[in-house]
Amino acid sequence: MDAPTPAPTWLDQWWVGQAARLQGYRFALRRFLASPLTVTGVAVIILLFLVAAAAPVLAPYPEDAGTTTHLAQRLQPPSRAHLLGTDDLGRDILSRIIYGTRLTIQIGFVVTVLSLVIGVPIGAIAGFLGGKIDEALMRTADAFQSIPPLILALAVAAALRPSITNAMIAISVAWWPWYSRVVRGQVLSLRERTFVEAARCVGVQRRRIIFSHILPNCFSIILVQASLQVGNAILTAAALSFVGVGAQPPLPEWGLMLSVGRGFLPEVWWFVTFPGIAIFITVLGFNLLGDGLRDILDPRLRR
Amino acid sequence: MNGPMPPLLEVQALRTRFETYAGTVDALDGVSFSLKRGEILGLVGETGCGKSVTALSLMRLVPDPPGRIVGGRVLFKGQDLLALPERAMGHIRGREMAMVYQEPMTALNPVFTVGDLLSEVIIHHRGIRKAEARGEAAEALRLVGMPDPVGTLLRYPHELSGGMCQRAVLALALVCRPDLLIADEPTTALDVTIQAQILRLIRDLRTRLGLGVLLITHDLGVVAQLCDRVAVMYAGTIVEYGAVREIFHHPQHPYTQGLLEALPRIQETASRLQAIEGTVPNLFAPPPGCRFHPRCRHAREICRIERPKVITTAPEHDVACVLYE
Repeated sequence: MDAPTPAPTWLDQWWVGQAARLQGYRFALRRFLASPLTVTGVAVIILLFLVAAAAPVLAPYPEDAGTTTHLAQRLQPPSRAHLLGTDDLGRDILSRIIYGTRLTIQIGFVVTVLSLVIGVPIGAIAGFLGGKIDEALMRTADAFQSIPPLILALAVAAALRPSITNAMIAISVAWWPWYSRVVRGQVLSLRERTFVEAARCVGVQRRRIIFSHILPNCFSIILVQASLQVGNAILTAAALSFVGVGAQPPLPEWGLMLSVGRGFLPEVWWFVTFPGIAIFITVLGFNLLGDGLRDILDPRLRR
Repeated sequence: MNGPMPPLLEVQALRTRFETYAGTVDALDGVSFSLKRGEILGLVGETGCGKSVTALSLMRLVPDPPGRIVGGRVLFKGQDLLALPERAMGHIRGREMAMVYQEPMTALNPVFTVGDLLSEVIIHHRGIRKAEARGEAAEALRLVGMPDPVGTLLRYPHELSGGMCQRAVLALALVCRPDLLIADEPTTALDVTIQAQILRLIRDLRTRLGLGVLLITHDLGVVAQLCDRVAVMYAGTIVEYGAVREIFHHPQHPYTQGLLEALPRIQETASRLQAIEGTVPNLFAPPPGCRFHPRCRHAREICRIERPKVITTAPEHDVACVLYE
């Protein structure tokens, strides 16, 4: 005997929809796994986050990240007690690098968010409204872009008081035009699509069309751009710290460690080598992730 | 009822101009017609004759620049839409008049579910809560005969077929129960069976909701099947206008006659189809006088000089041609 099958409820339908979407995610996951470089990038970043989170546990001498000094043990080469050696104030370099990941993540995140917050709305408005407003906004962006970002960030950071916060602001100021450009280009093509006219046809206001109808369609391109720039942001921040307008002692910032360690080369090789390797691996990780995301989210760019 | 009902929509001598680098184009050069509640008016003509510009002008959505409405009146329920401030127009679009597009797939924003799209319109126009809007949205989908309306709310446009997309677009247009629906070639992107379904649906909705429908098409078959009245457009002007039966049986304008002769007929043995000589005029430099005269078999001297007046030759039959003066 067969019981009458109950009519599918919206919940059943929802499950069907979710299953279909899950299938989509599975394809994306497969594409992601098919690219070993992307996987490496993600692994590096996950590792970075884990290290940052577990810093107090991982660091052999947590107090060395701060102002403590052990002048008796200064500039010791790598040993069992200090795996990566000690610096000019006798602090354990491994501990400082481990604590430095927190700073690095913070820099990458803050700079990216800040330049997104400035750049994306400007690009979206310029692209959607066009005309004189577009002209004005984009020429402003050109002015910022006409100076190499590192130099501009250096100038802004030097003009403000040297500190890691000001360095982050300076880098964001130098970088928002890149987001504006990318977003503007995308908006220019999206605003001609029928769904924009359809939205106007049913009475949706302009502001809502820009920010809730068009911008979500730019999401993948923004995500790719942002993930590529996290690495750049970290590198630039390290550079600013290196020349002295970024992080100030005693912060365990990698660029700053390089800067101080430079004075002790070539004998004290471990002082600069290990922070350098940390910067290298981190930036590489973010760049690999960015490239991978671009391949996954924007198939047109793939060769 | 006291007195005759005013028409739902009355367009009087509407003129829309595009100023481009290549020159000025009068895309609409004095277009007039009217539409009653519960009536389907077909607007037919070749590609580029100004059908879609008419639709956009009615909605006041002509891209500006380069386009501008330079003259005429659009009386919608007695008020002139062209004189309204933009804010008031925003309340009319979507709530009192709505539009359906040629390509349903591109008219739905790919990042929203159908339910989100519908709810947005409802919330925008009626200011009700999201949960209630969901119910209304499902109701709108049911109205347009969407299979499984509740489940569809959670679907993204790419998960729908072409026919379902067009139903969703219709639901989006009708969700606030407008009085006027402008359908700009709603079936050209669909295959024939779906076309028939959608057209039947539009006719059905007209009866059930008392909609006035302006149906833009280049398919005379669709007009014959669906419309009550028809306006034949040529190069930005309406050349013949009247009841469908009247115009199909007694076409008077040489252009309309040409169009009807160009239709293949199933009864006739295969012979070469009659085509209208020449091509659509270049609107940067439209021919003087009657815009059709360079292609007209009956062209006379006067056609080159004077714009033909609109003449009523029979009840429900207007034609703009000197032959009937």
